[in-house]
Amino acid sequence: MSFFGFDATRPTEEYDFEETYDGLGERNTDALNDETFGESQKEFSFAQANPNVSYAQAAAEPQARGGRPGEGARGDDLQPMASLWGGEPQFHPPPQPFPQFQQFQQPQQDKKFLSLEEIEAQMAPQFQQNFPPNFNPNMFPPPPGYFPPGMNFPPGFAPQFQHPGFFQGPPQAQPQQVQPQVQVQVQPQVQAQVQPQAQVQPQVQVQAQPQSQPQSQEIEKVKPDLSQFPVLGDKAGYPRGHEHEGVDELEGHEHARTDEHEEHENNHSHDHSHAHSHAHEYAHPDLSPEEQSRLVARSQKVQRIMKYSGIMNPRDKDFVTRFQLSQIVTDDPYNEDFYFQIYKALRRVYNNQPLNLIAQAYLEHSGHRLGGKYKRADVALQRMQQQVQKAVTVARERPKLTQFAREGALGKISIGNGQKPRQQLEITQVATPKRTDASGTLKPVSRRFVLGALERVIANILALEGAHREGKPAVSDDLWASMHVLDQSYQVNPFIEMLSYEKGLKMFPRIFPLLSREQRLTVVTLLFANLQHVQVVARGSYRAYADARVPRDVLTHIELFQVTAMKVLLVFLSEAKFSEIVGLLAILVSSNNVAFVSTTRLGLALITLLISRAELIKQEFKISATDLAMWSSVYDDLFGCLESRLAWIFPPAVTVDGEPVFEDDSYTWQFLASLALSGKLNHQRILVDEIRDEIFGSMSKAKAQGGDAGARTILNLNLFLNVIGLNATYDEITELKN
Amino acid sequence: MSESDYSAEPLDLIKLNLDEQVYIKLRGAREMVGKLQAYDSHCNMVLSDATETIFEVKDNEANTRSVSKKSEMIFVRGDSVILVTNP
Repeated sequence: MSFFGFDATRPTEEYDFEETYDGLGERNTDALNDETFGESQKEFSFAQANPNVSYAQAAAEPQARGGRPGEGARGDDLQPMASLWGGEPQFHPPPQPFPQFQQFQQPQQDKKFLSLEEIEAQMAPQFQQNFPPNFNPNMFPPPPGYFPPGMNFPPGFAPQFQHPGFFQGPPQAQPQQVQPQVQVQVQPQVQAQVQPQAQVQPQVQVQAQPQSQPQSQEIEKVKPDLSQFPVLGDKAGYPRGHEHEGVDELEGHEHARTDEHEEHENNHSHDHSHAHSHAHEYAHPDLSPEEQSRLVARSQKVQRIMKYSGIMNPRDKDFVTRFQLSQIVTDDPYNEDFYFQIYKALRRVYNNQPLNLIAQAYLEHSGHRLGGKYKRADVALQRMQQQVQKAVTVARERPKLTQFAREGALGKISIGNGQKPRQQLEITQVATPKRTDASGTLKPVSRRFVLGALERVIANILALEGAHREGKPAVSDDLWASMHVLDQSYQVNPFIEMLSYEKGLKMFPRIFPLLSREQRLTVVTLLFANLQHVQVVARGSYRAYADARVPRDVLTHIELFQVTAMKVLLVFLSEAKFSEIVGLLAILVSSNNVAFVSTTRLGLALITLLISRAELIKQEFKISATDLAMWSSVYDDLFGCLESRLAWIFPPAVTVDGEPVFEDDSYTWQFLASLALSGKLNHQRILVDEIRDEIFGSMSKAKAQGGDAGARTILNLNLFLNVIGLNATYDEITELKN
Repeated sequence: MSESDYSAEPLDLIKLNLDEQVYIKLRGAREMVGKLQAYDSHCNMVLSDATETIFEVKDNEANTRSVSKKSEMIFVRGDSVILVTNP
């Protein structure tokens, strides 16, 4: 509870232990009387009591007065209390057998109006007086002669505790047992905050004030009572000055902890020289002023340093560090701490102990003084590693859900971490029943659906990649399901739609390694079967545009396809069997408008890929007769689709501002070359017939371009011509000489 | 798999537009079109190849002028975002 008393706003203020202590006695006691006792009561002073009236007489008085304030000069010392009771005269103390406690008891009754902090603060000065011999022997000499003759301490208190009014206030003995450790820290508050409720304090202060001459005798009679009183609460056994605990902690660093008890005693004598610079001065009167001021400065510095020392024990500190670490460590670093992992990989930080790294980083950034006085960085690091280890264990055991309900517990426990703050609301989604298409007509695919499906695919890819990295078994079922490859309920397959988006294309090469071979073949088959529905393919057709020019953004999209999907397909097809290639081509021809696909850059490139790959296998390996027969029939189908439309594969010549624009048409010549290579002589003859104009056009184009560009155009042209045994130059076509 | 599966929370709608062109209407008579690279729960967003258009209304409606700025990569602080949609 004493934690509330910390004065965080005054950390820089230097303050002398001794001063605060002295200040209690030296302060002007009347300064806050108005706040304390209200304006109706002009001055509260113990001095108003008639010095000639004994306490026994004074105690007998209240009944006669009836608790009315301001009445009767002899009872004046009791009146302020009556006003504070707020017109509740029933609390007025009955006649007591020990009238000398009358005055002392009243502050106790006040306490039922005090808050916890106030009581704490108020107890602080009282408690100080517990240690007069330890503290400052000069300040409060035990006044042995002040005890009235009939007063015996323990019996004097016993009846008082039975008084009904007493227990309505917070019990005083118990807080005192909790209090002592923090005395030092609470000290400044006594001055800073508690003044307004100084009902008790004036008493204490007045006691130390020798100048209130006439009444001081009576008041000083009270003083020993006050100073002795907390001893009752101190039975629990704090025999030594526990206000020095902070110093113990500090000193503990300097002393080797050999004999704790002995050390404790040592610290005590040591402390006093530290803590009480005044005492120090008295102890060394022969020191030069510089040395004295140096000593004072040193003790002040020590005071400052130890102001809050010892507040947290090592377990507390461990708890705090563990708590902080638990927010930054994770057992799933690749997902939750991805960029740091990558950074580590890039920096090639080879460290077989990742925990060491976290601990090191934490220590560096948290401003820990590594190892304290002796710079024992290794010890601090070791300690921090243990904390990290614990935190990781906790993180691992932490439930994966952000909320969970313990069995038998009311409510839910929500857990947050650094990456995912605590979730305050949980909205459970009502499972919507699957919509079944009873009509049988195929739904169009909405953009939102495709993008959503794509997000799910990406999430699955990340999960699988993570599993691969960690060597866990990865099942691609979820990924496969999210790809909708076999989903027949839409007009266009959702996976094909996904490839219309750039991020879908970017995912394509990442999906492939995660799939089984059958799944890959299925995906490739789907792609070839729906080639004309793949937007990046379809939009690459010059025929889709009025000016026969493919727009810039589509071209970048096409480039993206070439560096992503095309590469993957190339690798896949280079490992595919001949029958599979033939099958793919057959599906392509049967499911698509080949004439349209051939006007697209990507479509043509993909057909080229299939034909050339089939031709390569045909030349390298022995192909069964049935496969060959199937191949020639598929080729015939393809050729039949293209026949009489072969010239269309060339984008029309484009002029911009009257100037001819030469676009890269190497892909067309590559296609024609592979088509010619796989075809029979009659196919080649038809080919040459159909594209005769393009051949000569290309030659004149090369001439117009000249230089490197012209040479490249000729080179492209010769790709095709060489296949049919011809060779072109800028001016003429000759038979290829072997 | 119904379509509503993908909109468990409002920001999921923005998630769907990652790596896509988005139109963002901003406070102070501004709008921004660009490719959404990243966003967070505060609707802070990073756009690439973005075009910011600032409108200035003078005297009356007919006198509206607009200034455009292009940025290769830009961070849009979420507190100024009014709406996000496709262009």
